[in-house]
Amino acid sequence: MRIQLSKYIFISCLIAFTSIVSHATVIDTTKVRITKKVKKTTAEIIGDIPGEILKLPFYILDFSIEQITFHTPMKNVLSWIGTPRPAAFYTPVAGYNSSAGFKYGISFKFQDVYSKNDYFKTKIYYSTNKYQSYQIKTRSKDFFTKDFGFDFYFRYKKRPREDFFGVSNQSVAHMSANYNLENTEVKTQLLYNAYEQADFSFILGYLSTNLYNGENPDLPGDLDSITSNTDYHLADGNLDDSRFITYGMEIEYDLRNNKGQPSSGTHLISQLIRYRGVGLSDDLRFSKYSIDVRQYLHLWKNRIIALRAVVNRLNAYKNNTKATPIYILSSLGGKDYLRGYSSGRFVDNDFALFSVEYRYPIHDFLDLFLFHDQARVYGNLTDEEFFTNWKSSFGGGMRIWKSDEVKAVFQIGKSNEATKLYLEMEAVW
Amino acid sequence: MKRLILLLFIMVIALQLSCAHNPHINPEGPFWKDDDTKAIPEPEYDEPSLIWLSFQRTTTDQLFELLDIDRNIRKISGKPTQAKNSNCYDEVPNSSWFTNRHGHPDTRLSPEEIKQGLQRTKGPDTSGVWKVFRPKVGGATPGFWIEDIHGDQYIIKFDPLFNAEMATAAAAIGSRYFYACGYNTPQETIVFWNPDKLEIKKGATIKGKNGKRPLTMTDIDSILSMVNHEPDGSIRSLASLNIGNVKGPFMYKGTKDDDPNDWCPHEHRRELRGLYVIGSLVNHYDLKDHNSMDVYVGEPGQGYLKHYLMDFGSILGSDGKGDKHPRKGYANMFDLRDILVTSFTLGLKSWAWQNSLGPRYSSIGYFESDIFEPNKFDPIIPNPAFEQMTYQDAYWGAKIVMSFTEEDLIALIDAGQYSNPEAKAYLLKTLKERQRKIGNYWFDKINPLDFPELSQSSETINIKFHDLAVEYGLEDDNAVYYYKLLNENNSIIHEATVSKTEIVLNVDQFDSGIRELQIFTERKGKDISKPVIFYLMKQYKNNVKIIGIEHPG
Repeated sequence: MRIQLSKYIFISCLIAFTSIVSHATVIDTTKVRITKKVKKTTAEIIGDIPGEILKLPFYILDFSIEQITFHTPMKNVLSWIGTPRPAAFYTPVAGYNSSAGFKYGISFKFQDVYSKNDYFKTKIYYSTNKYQSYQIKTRSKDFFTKDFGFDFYFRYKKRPREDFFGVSNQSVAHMSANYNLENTEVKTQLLYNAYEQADFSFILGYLSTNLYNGENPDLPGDLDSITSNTDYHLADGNLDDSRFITYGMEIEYDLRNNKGQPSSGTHLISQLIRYRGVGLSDDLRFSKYSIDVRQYLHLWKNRIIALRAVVNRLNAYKNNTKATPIYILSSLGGKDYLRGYSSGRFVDNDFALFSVEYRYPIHDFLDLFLFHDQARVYGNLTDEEFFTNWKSSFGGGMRIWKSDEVKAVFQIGKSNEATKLYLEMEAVW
Repeated sequence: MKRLILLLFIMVIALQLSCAHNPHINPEGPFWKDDDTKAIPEPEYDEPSLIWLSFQRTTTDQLFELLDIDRNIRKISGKPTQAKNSNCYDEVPNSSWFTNRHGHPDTRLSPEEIKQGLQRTKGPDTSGVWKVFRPKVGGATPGFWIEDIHGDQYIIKFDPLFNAEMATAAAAIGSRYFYACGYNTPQETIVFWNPDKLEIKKGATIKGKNGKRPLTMTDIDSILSMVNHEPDGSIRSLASLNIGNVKGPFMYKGTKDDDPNDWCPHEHRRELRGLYVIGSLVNHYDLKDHNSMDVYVGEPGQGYLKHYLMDFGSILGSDGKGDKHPRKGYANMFDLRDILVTSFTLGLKSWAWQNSLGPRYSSIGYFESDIFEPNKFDPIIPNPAFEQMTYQDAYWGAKIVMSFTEEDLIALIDAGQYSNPEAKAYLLKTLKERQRKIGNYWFDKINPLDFPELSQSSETINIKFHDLAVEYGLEDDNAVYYYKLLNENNSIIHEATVSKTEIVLNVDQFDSGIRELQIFTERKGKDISKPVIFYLMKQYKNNVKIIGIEHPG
């Protein structure tokens, strides 16, 4: 019995002893750490000094941007970029080109006004160089029946610094002059949706244009002196005011996979418009036709090659006693046709243009692109050597888009004459 | 002169790198609780602008980091600033931020406890009327606040119209997962209820175009028209219990000026750094400052701030409003690094997420494990704590992630109340694969020998430890462990190789100084690992004690 008891006592002591000397990583929350604020060591403070000096400008930037982001209009702009558009909305109009300067204005769009996908849109803008534009546009593709609709367009614009370099593909850059263009256009179109991808439209319009002396103080702007200068290759009537009734038709064939941000498919727009002079231009008649084909090739993961070919032709009637006004002629230069050259840099009856763009996404709503444009004007495209004396440019830019709609395009075009910067709130193609 | 300044500067940095005391040693053993719940005056509500903070985190903070010379030198020299709140066992003590609940051998939640999560109430009582007293403001989805017949207040959130179960399941799973991991989270309950239970509480208002106006049932109906209804007319929702006196989100950087308890810069908190790894398991892309909150607990003047994670509706494949974009979780919302790389390579560099096949189940959204890489996880905006994360922080997070057994994961998934068994099976498979990748990656950076247990007899000291890579099935049980015992002069007292996770030392190898037991692991087909270091010291009555654990990275 005694042995038994001493055995139990021994085992108990052993257990007790083992428990004293055994240590596991047991969580014992009775062991409380008295915390003290972590402070930087002297070495850390000294080590931070060069960095803090370099950061100073960014502290100022931080502060400035904080003020901007707290400002309500900026919040609204940010929310506009980030959300799908409501049925009716205002959007800012902004742009820049070297002739107009900075454009600013507002646009109001009322969607689904007659039925789904119809719209009514007004747009007003001014620019720092006194350019102005007032525009109303409304479109309903199924206003009359399921396949018949209409489009109405009115625009008044005044462009006091329109560049002019003379007529012909050989015009030279340093011969630039400028004129003030005032233009009013009313156009109605009867739309016929022939089948899913093809639209036909019949066009009837009125176009009134007045020319005044240019307002760019750095360039010749007196219309009389421009007319008399033989280097511009002008003919009688080239700088006249004019009034025209226009009529014609347009075919649009659209096989793009997405209208706002296409990555594959073809898009073709062809127009034939006849101009019949009225009033002070009643001796002028001519017709213009154009074909604009865009092809989008998806390479991989939204890397896209976009190709574009445009041919514009103008046929004046043989009985015309005066030449066609320069502002009606086909012109190259600017963001739409031949980037990297001044707007209206090359003017003549016809032109041909080829563009290639490589577009690649860098973010959900950001694309970068590189482009090459090649184009020239012709007095008569069929009579001249088609492949000689082409003008070319290259460049690149960024497209901001959301909900399959391009919201802004920033691009730089470089030619052997100039480097041009373009900022627009819409995409051309 | 310039050279002299440069020389002095380099000397200061070198001094700083070499003279830091070893935080892994504490003769008293590890502290397991921080005294950061002392009574403080009630702070003001403070919430910075989300737009501004996102901009700051994405741009200026990145520039500042480039200019942080001290940090860059540390990074280059392989001595990054370690977390400042870990204890001498390289673990995180309990605090107002974190509670050790899971992931430690002697502290685990059962699958039932995981499934239950935090449960202060049983959720809103559906037997009585729900009084709507406020519409929900902010967040990705619509919702409103209700008070049930017991007077408990809940915010009611819904699933997207075309993704039944997705956001509510994500939030229910997320709140339980992060709670089990140790963080403070709100109580989130999935509840099915009938719309005819709703009433407007007297005096409830809504912000209209012309200022505040009374809230009406029409307002509620317009919210309910945007949400998914069950075939029987009931609505599945997430009820989040009102957490109390919210004082705004906590920031992942710096400390809160009006909280005297806030002693450690948040970017140097291990639980916030390691949250990167913990969040990566469930693709918690939305881990930003604004998805956190500080809550004042206690009576005014007598309470303290408790720090919560919240809003888990955007974890797994959910984006709150719909399926998660495949990029989310692999790049920041506006990832300057990715944008620059893509820009300068002209788009020739593409990213794995661009091969996404899209979501397989509408109730889960886009959640996958094939292209998941544990170190490539990216939250919505750069997170300052994550950017300070060291291998040691990641290893700590990985230990918690790996501690979830299959039964634990099933319990979490069950909390989501998915109706489709295939979706549940897919989610379990995906979580297990992601978990395995996390374990493989981070345990490869740190020698995963941990949780030593020491027992001593009069002659020998027996140290057992856990090889976590083997325990979690990441490695075969064929490793050999080479160890050496060093004295304070770094002279080897004893060295040997063992094939079991147990080392026997002689007591006479110890004097009053600190001994360093370095253990290296050699696995078949792999290079010998970095060591894990157990610091040992003979103390009262010749008892040898583990006074520190270090996992060099």
